Amino acid sequence: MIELLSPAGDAEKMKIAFLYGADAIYIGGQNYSLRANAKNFTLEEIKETVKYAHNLNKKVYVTVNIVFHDEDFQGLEDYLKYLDSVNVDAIIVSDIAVMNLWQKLNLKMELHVSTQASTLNKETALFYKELGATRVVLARECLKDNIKEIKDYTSLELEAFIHGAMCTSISGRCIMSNYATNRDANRGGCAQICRWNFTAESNDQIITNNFQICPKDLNMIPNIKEMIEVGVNSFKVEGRMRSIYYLATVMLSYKRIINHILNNTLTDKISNYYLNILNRCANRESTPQFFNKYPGYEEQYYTNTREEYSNQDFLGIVKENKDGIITLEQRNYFKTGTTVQFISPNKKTFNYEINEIFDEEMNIIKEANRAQMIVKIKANLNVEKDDIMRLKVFDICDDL
Amino acid sequence: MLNKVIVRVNSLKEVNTLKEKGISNFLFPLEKFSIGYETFTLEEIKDLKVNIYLLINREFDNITLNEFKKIKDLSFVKGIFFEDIAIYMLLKDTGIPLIWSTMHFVINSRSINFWLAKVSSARLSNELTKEEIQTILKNVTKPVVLDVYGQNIAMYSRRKLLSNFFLAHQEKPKENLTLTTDNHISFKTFENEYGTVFFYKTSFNYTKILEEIDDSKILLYLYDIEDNTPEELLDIINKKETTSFNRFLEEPTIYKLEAKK
Repeated sequence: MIELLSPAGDAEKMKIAFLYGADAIYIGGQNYSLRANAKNFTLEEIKETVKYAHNLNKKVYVTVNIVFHDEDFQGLEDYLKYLDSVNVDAIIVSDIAVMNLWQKLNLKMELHVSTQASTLNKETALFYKELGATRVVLARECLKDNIKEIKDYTSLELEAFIHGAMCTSISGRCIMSNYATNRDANRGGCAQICRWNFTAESNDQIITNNFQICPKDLNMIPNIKEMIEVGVNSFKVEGRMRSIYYLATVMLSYKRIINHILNNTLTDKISNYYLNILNRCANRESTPQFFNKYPGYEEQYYTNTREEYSNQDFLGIVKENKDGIITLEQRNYFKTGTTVQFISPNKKTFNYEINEIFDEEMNIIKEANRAQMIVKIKANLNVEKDDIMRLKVFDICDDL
Repeated sequence: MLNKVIVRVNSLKEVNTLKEKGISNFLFPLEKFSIGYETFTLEEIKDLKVNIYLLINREFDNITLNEFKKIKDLSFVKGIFFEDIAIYMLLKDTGIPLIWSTMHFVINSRSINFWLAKVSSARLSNELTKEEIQTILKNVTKPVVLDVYGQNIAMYSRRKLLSNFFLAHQEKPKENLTLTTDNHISFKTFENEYGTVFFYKTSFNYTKILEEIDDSKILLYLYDIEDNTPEELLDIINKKETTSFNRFLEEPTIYKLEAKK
């Protein structure tokens, strides 16, 4: 079983994730989830999401992955029963008390062990299997030999992160946020202190005001084939708070990579093409980490100034294609003459030079310069609703 | 109370001095299997005439697991504080008392009681208010371990964060590094081949709440010697006041940011 697993912060992201290749999504409810300040899903939205997913033959996992204090258990039992009643496929859990409750309630939805539990070895994985878990989300620190041994020893489904932000620490083993801001890292309030600059002193002498410990983001494009070979079943992308453009780009890239691997048609040219695409759409440098070796300084992110940038390649999303007129919702500035690319889950990516832009009343305009303005282009293009228009940066790979 | 005091030490000399003063329980971070502290080999400690507890606080990969399996004799050990569940899986049928000690996770009554049904005890995490500690003590089915004095581990990474920085900047590594945020929060650092640990620089000292908690629910009171001399630690055990960070005791952490009405 090979599964591409996407985050989904809301209903729009959920639909885009599925459309662009996700086999399953993971979402958080209003409580008990480690992204406490994300929009998250209401009970009704969870129910609707599961229905939507199951109609597509896809899955929904709900994160119940905080580390609970005694006060946090209020309402949990009802919540788990509700999730089970609306046919959520699995809960993702780190606290043993929740696993125990899941077992006691005899729920039909599966139990997946969160990366927050930091499973790095076969005995710990076996412990969770004996508790009833069917899947473990491996610690990000898991080297490939470790993964294979865990698989061989337990036959559990294994889920591993392939893309997105990394914790500097072993997941769940960091409360710097608690100290620096009183925001509880293990209950969803992490303020990401690892991305701050520190003043470093040695023997009471200041060495630098710019000491950094932030890691690069993860990008496992070069290693997907080997991950499949050592037994990873589910390929997880981080980022419930990411944009639809990010999700569409990342899902499409990995979906196509996985398909090429399974069809034995993957070439270096294809890998490099998608590497470029993914590096471009992220706001931080990314690189493979841990799988082949423990990370060194090349896997850390050192800057003299904050260099994270917001990408403005996402230009628009197709709302309709009818009678030769394509209606777009603008997402970043573009103008007549801009060369763009259309990406779609179902069609090959192609280039197009914008020659005329119209407003909603079909008046010619020179540019699309307001957020979410509706514009139209007259062209006989093979695009459909929810296809994405982005700035052309890279030539399309011939091997695709 | 001295019979319930356990001290994490840095050297055998400290053990001797403290033993003379009536301390009988000592916590030894085990070489290769712990991080953040001075470590000891089993050879060094096995003939000490004290109650020997081991601290095994590393996250285990399979290589470390296989190394641990090579240990032949732990019969002299009074108890093992374990971070990784693999330790439980390997030792559960040996009769060696195990104390659940996963960083930041020993934090609610239900989890603790789950583990108390399987192991001898649990070491409470530091990030609890006084009321939460009292609630847990009321609910637990067996006595637990309470950290009274020490520096709490704030972050544990498998990366070598200090070396990496100096390598990247082509500088000589510096020792005894303290890192401070712009809002004046300081962390003491430790790095070895197994990764990096940050300690919150100011010790906590929970001596003042000891009279308010149910002693019958405490198996051991844990004191970390840190950089103190044995005499200084004994003063602390005897309730000498120290500069301390006790915010977790007094103020709950927040995680959901809500607009104030």
